[in-house]
Amino acid sequence: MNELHPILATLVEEFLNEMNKVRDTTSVSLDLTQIQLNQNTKHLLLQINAHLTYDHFVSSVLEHELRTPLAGIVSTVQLLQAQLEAHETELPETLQKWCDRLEKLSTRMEFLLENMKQLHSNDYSSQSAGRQTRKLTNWLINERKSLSELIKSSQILDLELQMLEESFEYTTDYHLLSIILGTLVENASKYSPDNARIDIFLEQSQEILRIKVIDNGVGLGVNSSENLIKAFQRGQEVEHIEGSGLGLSIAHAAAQRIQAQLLLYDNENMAGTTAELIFSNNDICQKTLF
Amino acid sequence: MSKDTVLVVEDDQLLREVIDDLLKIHQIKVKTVGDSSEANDWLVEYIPDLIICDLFLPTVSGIQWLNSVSEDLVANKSSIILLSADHVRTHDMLVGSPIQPLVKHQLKKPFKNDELVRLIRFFRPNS
Repeated sequence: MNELHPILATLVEEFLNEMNKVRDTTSVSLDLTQIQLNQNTKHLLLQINAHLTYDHFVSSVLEHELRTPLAGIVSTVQLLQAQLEAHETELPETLQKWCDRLEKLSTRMEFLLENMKQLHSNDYSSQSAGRQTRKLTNWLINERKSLSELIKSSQILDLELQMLEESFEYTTDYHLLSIILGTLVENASKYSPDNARIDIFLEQSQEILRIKVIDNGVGLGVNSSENLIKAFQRGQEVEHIEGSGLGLSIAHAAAQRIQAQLLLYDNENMAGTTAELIFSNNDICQKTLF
Repeated sequence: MSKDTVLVVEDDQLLREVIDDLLKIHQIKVKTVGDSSEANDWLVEYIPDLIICDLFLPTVSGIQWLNSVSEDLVANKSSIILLSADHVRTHDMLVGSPIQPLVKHQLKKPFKNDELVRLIRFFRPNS
């Protein structure tokens, strides 16, 4: 089940309690109308949950993520100003280094803002918004090229496919899926040593699709597997989350948008972390994930 | 390296480089590291008089890491400047923790270069 925003979780619990009370007292089984009503309610709750999570994501980005590149830009500009005011001439290569740094920091801020815009602009009141049907394996093989650009030059990105049918077509928002994978791979690379291998697994079973990004980096440390996501959603000590990389907050918000489940856990028999994205194999994911 | 070298723990490489350049321009001895593991390696040799620590580290929060090494820091009477975005939340996390008395200042990103340098000079004149 997707993690719910705490306000929603309380509402759902109260709703279910009330429903059980009514059922216990009347001993009447739910008819089809009630089942449909429940499904619609679940869908509505999912939409509200995605919006609440997005709101939290935006406030997190505004309050934390943008501040680091902004600090780098502001401080570098101050360094340049100080040089001008002192009429000192830094070596050209130093000035070039500072300018290159400004460009990188600005690019990162632009990346953040673009992702926020993308997540915000999709109309998720409609189930078909932003969704396309594609052959998933072909898409992932093509996507691997751009993912490879996100890792350190000394690292290797491997892709393994374990599909029941290779030409399997899947409907989802591929732009958001690309954001999720990009940020997970970038995160894996950032916290893995040079020359490390990062594996992407695509697995299909009868009911579930899994995409795993596995690294052999520093791992989750003292953060337990579920607590990373929970803390992010509940706004508790989000510093820990931000510390594990920008990717997580973006990936989590995007996963909520496409109604996928994002899990993070330490690898069992080796160092590092697995980020696992779980989709329903058929239709829309609520049946199995909510 | 020596104990009057300022230890900067910041996981963002570019900001780390900016701080490194800034402090070196002001002739302040500085060692920058990207995570708590690197910082621990360095602490084996020297307990610095001043640590500038970001709250966002890869596997633990800055406060968690500082608390994990608090015994050495308290014994050395080290000072800590936290780079933080949310003073209220940081304060809540700090209350009652072993390193609370060592935290002399919380500096909000983005910060003024002059302010950072002034703080360093104030808390560690020999840096």
